[in-house]
Amino acid sequence: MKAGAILAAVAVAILLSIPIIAAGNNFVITLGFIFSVYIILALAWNIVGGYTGMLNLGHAAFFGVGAYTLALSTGAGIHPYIGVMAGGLAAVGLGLLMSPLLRLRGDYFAIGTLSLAEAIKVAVLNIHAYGIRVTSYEGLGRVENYYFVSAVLVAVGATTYLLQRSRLKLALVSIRENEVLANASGINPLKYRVIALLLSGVFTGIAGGIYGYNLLYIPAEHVFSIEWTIIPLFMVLIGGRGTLTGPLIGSFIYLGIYYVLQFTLTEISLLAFGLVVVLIIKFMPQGVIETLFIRTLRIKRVSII
Amino acid sequence: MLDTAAIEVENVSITFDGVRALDRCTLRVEKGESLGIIGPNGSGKTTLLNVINGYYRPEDGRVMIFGRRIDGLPPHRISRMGVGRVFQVTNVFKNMTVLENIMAQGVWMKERKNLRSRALEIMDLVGLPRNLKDELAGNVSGGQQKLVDIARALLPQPEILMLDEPVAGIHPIIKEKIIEVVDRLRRDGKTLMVVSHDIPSILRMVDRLAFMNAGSILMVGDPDEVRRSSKVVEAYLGV
Repeated sequence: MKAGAILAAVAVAILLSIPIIAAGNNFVITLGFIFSVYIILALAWNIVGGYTGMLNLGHAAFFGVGAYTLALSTGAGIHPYIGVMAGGLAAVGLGLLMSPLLRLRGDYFAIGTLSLAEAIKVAVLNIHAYGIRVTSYEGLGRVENYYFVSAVLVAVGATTYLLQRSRLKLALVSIRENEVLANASGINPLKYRVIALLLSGVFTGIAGGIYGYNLLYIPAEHVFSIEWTIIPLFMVLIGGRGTLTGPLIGSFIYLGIYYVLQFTLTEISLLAFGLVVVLIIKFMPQGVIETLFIRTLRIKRVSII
Repeated sequence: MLDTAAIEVENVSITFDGVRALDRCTLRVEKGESLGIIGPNGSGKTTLLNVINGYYRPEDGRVMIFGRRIDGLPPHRISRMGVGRVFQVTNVFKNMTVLENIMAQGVWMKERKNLRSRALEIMDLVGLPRNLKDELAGNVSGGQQKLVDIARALLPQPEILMLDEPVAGIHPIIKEKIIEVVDRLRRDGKTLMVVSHDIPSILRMVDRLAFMNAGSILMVGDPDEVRRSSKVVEAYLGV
């Protein structure tokens, strides 16, 4: 436990010192910003996809709705960071709208959420074919946005950490493992799934908002793109579902391989990248954490709560 | 005033794909009684338990727990009213540790602090070695999984426990342990319903025996009496 606390402190220190080390190097700050956004998405997707085991393919809708809400609020003269939080709230609204889908099982849920996200994307594209402009705010630039996104990252990390130790996790995982038995244990599956979806949505919406504000221009095609679902999904699958460390490590592996291949193989990098991801999932279906740490290194598993 | 029974099933019927699984089934289990149910395969024993636990909504008739009507309530509500269930096919959360399996039953309970220590006590009670607590439930033996299942059901101290084939296909030593646990619950005054094909074992766990065939209860009474009844012998053995 001590080691975990030290690690978390070091991670937060690194996160906060990046703009100081970068000293005005926009590339580094932007990279840090993007990385943080992806990790937030992975941790948020993990709450539904990992703990409850429901394959949410509509995650991008939360992100897009967050970004759009931010743009609309700044257009109405609202402070951008309040607009970002409003994006989180809008995502919660969307989550409530999506919650009837939580009655669907397995593939049906995946198809349902995917369809809903695509439908929202098409609807928005019909209104704003070229996207929407964000009104920028004096004094809130890349560095401030970076700190904002770091705070969100710490918040979603802390939430996952607390979730790990909570009865909520027991409820979510037991529903994932065996719904009939969870029911016999007095657990109402739908209620807990809704809680998970809303938690996942709020962080994703906020991430979408701050991402949108950092872009200052929001192409609907881009913020509602399925990549905001698929990339976090891969990160979680690589690292290991339903854990805190899984999505974190998965994100670093994913982004690491992605950028290394980009710089070395350039044109064929995506091809090679796809191959690497497939191999990882083929040989470590439970994720890197389970395979490397628990099976190979025989680190002892403990009951968490 | 008539004393209310722990479980009352009145004229309950249910049909699956044209097959009448329960046919005007009526049964009364008194408070603190342990009732065994025997009967041929397909006679509706598990269906009856599933109706009481809320997995099936009866087409007809009613089900009451301590005088309160429960048919139509979702399973988790019935569970919270103090009706536990141990399934026929051993049912554990395979990718959760043994301790987490047991504690999952306590998610909704008001008691916040002592859940873990309660779960450990229940492990002792059913005879699960404490060193198994951090093992994944899917990795322990079949008999131990059954004990995990029973321990999970016991965590909230249910007044009523439904056990479906608790000893089928279980190693003799663990089987003995399970019978001991059930017998202790009986002596503690819990209301039990035990379904089993294993007659010698069921006789050690119940006060009365009910015989079920073709979706209804044909006979309820003293275990010896039921066992020797010509009706039972005929339906069970086909002679």
